[in-house]
Amino acid sequence: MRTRISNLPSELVEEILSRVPVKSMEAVRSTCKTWKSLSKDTIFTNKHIGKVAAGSAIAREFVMIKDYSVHLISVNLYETHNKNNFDLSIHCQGQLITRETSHHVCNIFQIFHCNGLLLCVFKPFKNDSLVVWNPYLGQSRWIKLRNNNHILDCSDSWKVINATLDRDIKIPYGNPGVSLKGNTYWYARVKGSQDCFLLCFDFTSEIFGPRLRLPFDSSPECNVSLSAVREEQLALFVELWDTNEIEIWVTNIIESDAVSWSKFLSFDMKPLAYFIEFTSFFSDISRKIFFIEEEKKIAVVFGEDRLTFKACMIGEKGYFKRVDLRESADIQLHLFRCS
Amino acid sequence: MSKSEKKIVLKSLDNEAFEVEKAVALQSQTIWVMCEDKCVGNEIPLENVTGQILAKVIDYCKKHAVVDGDGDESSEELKNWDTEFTKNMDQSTLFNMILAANYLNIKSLLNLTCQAVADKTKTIDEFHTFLNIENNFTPEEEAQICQENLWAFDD
Repeated sequence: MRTRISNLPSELVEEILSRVPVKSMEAVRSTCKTWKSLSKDTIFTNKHIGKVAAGSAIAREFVMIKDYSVHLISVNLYETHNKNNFDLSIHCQGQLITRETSHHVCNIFQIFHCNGLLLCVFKPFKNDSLVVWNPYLGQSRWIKLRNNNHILDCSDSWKVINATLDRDIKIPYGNPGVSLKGNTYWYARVKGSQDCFLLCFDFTSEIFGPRLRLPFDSSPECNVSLSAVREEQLALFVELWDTNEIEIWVTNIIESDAVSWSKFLSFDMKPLAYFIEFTSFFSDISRKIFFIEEEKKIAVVFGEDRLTFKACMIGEKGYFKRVDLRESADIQLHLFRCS
Repeated sequence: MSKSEKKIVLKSLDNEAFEVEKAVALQSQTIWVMCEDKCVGNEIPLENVTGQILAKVIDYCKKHAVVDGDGDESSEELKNWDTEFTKNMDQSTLFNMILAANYLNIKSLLNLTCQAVADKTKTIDEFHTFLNIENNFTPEEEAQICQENLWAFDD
């Protein structure tokens, strides 16, 4: 007798379906009634996302904008046969499509990620240029815009918030916030001074929290980028121009009112100062996006200059390797995790 | 321990007997518990598994067993072996393997076989044909699902 999936007990069917890539959840939902209700079940969803997250410890998923359309990219950092040498493999997993006829998804020029939701900003920027998309459930909502700060929550409603920033705070251009455990963090500076700190918006209380300490109090000349580590910690990438060093810090504690840091990596740029591959990478690119690989003590840094999209890896003992991506400009990467 | 004690006989549903090293068989938590409880002799009847499937399960367990230092294969090789192992299995065999892995409680084999099924099915058509699932939506419900899934990542 041939065994079919309907012969399996429901817990085994769940075992199988929880291993289906998130991208195929739409197919699962559209297969039959039982699976549709299963795919919306919280226990199943958590199990599925847990498995996806465990899998993404090997390959990380990013959302990338290329030529004004959104792509899902998986990035895998692996050790080559030559020990202590690493390589990146990058695959395009899919492109965002829509079945709507009235709007096309080919004009997206910015994308924000928070708690598994993606906020897509369309070009040209008009009243109906914002859409929130839940890639897991496949749902999308358009937002009508008024001039203010907006909050969106999962119940598909949005509201205007009245939280105001102190007038002396400046968030340097091109430093997007990073969302972590219901808060969003920005690298911020005090106007007219060299003081800098971490600014947090607490979405529960809907206020900006107290200024949080960075591992350094003032930053005369440096580039700073933030990134989330496993949706639990915050990583800070600092390029110190005066000492020609890169420092990467990771939080031990990160709350809306408390933070503590430990150093993940120090990288001396001086020995590489005359190395053309290195200098062209670091000097041409101002806005950098990075992720760290904790076990391998490696940071992967992405950036774009006027013409190309680039990536490099830095590690302990001055390890540096340039990755040639042969990609065009207009690319934004956002570390992407569903929830 | 005498040589015979290191061996164990597994008997399938259709009365096929397989003599295997104990270390190979003990990867199954179910068999491990049976042996611990001493409720069975040297021969273990497995009433839910056919000989054809049990042979494959034993192949898997032999490959994954660490017997007297033989288990020094690299994880890379093991992974490739696993991929080859499930690659040409038909759908019915895979489901039977899942049932067997579940019954025998071999976690890694259950992982592997469930993942193999998940990997072979990605589109709605594949779910319907490969998994033999009937589409029981009304046209209205189907339209509604379409409406809910206007945005998606696609190849």
